[in-house]
Amino acid sequence: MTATSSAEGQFGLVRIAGHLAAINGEIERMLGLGLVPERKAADRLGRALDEMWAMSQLLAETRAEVVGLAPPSTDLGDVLDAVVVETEKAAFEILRQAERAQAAAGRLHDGTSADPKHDLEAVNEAATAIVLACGFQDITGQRVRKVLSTMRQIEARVSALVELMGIRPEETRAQQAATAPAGEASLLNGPSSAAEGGLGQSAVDDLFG
Amino acid sequence: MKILVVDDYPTMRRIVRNLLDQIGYKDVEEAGNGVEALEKIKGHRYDLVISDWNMEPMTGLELLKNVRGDAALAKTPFIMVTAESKAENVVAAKQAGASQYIVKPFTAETLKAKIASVIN
Repeated sequence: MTATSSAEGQFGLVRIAGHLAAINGEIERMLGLGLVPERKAADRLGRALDEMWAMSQLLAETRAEVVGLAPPSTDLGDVLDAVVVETEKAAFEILRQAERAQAAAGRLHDGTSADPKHDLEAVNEAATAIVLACGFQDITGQRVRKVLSTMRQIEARVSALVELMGIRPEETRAQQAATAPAGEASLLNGPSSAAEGGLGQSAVDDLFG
Repeated sequence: MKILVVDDYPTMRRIVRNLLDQIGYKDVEEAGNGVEALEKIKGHRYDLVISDWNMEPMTGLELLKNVRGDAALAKTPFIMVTAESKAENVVAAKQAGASQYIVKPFTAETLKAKIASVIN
């Protein structure tokens, strides 16, 4: 999720809430008009008023739920962007140090080292630097856990709203099927676990022939 | 042997380049996506292309189809190296003409064995 999509999502929720509030206002105005009905239509209008009251209450409850869906102040996009930057920075540092160690070890192995003691120290220093660079996992792990916690809160709120609005699971599945990517785009899924249908190298080799 | 490594992540290009260096292949060039790779392939002769799948603006599968569709390039060995590990992906790559398919993360031994199989 990017910072932009997060902001757009929040803006969308605010718009939905605004629309619902407007509908609620319209109904309440109609109810006001209904307080001075013609006598002949009194019974029918009374039933209509009951229906409208119920609708008004439902919309008010829905609006409250939608407002409650607004994401927490933490910007998930920025947090995940930071994880990407930190992991890339750490990977480059680890690669840089590994290549430094490989070069020194290569010179020692080939007998071309001008200063064997210095090259041995370089290997040791590179190994220490790699160990330190792995500290990124602690920081990124905390960031990812923070995002996961927020996502679970949002998931629970969305589920509550779906239930409140009476949306059936089969409707959700039909909507997902209708918007699923087709053709080659459907092949872009990223890493998949075995449970998701991902294959290991040996299974791929068997399939590839 | 001249090799082109195609991946949108500089880290992965550097890892593959490092492994190729360890195996003994020093003449390695890089491209960050399918479009960039296709331009390079049309301008130079490569003995092997090692490509990621999931890239923009041109994916590895589209790059593969372009290479196989060009008579002058069609016989270039092409190894797909990707995290896309579902059976439908493997089948699609095979049908498009991939020479080998490596799933990320992979080992130096796997890369070495697949290169040997497509070169021989």
